[in-house]
Amino acid sequence: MVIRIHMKQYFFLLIVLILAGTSAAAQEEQPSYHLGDFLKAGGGASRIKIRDLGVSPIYYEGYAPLGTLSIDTETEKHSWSIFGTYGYGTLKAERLLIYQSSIHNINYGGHFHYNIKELRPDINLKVGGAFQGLTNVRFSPSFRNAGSTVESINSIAASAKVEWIIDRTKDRRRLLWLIPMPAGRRVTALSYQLNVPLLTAIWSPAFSYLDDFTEGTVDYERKNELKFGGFRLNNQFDYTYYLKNGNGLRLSYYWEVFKGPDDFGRIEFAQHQALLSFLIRLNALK
Amino acid sequence: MNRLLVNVYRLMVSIKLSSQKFKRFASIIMVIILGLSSNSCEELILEEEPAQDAQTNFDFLWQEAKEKYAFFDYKGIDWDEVYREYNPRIQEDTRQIELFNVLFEMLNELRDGHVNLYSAFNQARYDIRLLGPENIDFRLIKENYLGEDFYITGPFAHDFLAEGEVAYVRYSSFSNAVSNFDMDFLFLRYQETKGMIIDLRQNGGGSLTNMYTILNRFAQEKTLIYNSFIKTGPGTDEFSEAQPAYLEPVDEDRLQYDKPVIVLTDRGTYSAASFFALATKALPNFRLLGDTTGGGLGIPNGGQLPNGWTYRFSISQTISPDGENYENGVPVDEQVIFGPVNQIQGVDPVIDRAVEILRR
Repeated sequence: MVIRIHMKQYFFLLIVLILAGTSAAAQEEQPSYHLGDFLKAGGGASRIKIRDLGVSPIYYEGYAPLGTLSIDTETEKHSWSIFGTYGYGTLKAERLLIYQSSIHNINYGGHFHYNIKELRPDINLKVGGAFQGLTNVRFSPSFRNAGSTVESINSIAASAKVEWIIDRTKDRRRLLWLIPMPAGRRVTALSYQLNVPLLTAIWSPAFSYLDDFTEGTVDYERKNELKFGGFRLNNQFDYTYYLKNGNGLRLSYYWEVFKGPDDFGRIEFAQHQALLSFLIRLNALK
Repeated sequence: MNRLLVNVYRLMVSIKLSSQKFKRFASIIMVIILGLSSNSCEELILEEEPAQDAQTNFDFLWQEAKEKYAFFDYKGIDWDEVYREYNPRIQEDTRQIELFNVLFEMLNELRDGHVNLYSAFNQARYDIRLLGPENIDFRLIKENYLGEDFYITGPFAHDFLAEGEVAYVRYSSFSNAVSNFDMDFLFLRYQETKGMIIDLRQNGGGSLTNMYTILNRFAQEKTLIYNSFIKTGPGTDEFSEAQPAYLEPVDEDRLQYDKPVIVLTDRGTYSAASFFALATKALPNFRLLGDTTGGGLGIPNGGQLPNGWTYRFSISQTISPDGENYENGVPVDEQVIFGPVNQIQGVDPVIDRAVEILRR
């Protein structure tokens, strides 16, 4: 017998499994919901603002729907994460005409944190390092032969994170005003992570660049050059709701700003990401 | 921002909240503050856009051209003198149309068909075709040479001439893509001819990819066709190392054509079509006939002014393997001009001369 499952049904089943799975350990042992290995998958939107002074002094702004995937591990002593995010959208600059630029926005990287201090029993301070990558592929027809661009900004950063685990007993209520939740123990976590890059490498278009140049094809390797420096800052705020089966839901807000080193083709970039993710536990609750 | 934080603090103090409600309230406030502080930081770090007034736009375009245009030295243009000449025409109350006209005239000092300024209401250009006669009348060719039943394969209009001894192939724009199938068909149909005419008169260019698709089919070995040099800095002589361009023979199982080929050109043969004419100089069985091409061997990039208008100008130079810069036009091996008398007589002397050479 062949069972056909449509895409909508598949996602519905997935959500039901995440929310109502049966892998919960005995409640009496008071498991640490926030510890363990997680696969995080989600989606959201990014507000992007970018200016490439190599071709225009005008900021192009717009929204890009995005999806994210990561592997997160949390233990009593340390935590680490590897992530990737992809978004695609159209940016606009409005003057007498509206100029458009399509963008593939790819964020990737990872971080490692040691727990160094318990400020209070429920608040952890963590420090460590992060690798942060950002690659944009942009197509801007108005710029003609300079209309196809790739820039990649990669940083090694110092990273600090404050995490507040809120563990309490609650009455019956609705999660996000929608999902009925029975009375009992509730664990949520609020965290704030700040990354301050120590070294940033930018692979972006050189002084002047062309598509369809000598051999009739776009050769990014030839038209781009590697630079170091600039100013970059980013932070992330997460609100995580842990479910009794050990999975979780996470709301994230990520903000980043980057200003390239002073040269003729300086890139200036900012992004605000809002994400809703499912945390799928990969090991048993302890 | 500070006032907001003070107000939030006052609000928190004034409201008596239970511990749990306070935590929830605090977390919401935290998110709002983080969001607002991010925006504030962003405004501090990212620089503002330049003003959109006439003077700012004039200065911006002049400066961009000064740093990136590739032919100041070659053409002997004093760009600082151009600034002194045109800047007095920019006033505080200069209107958009007046500004456009000043920029239009200023850019035409570069005498370059690859220089344009695009606004919502007009396009500035330097019409290279007016530098010489339009050396073709395609209606005349259709009426007196091709007839009504000539073939159209992809971007090519083509047929036999001279009792089947010569192939005539008209390619009117390099913006029209050429496929390997198109080339296969041409070579198959005309494999028994004594020679081929490729007519590029008034072909204003397009994509260089098409040049490679065509000429690689004629190359017997890897052949250097030119070197390109791209601007790498603001100085008039700051260019990259030579970036060589080669033709390379295609797979052996593809048809090739090794008979004599004559390429017809005129002053309207521009940009990619001029590159094509230049490249044929490296192929032994090719010959150029007609009028000097329009040139345009500097490839234009693109950019935008603070008021949104976009522009382009040449930022590279192309030099032939023997060191010649043909930016102002690739010379032909034999000049033949299509004149008004020819039009009255209904003959194309450029085609006639090409046929004569190929039938020898």
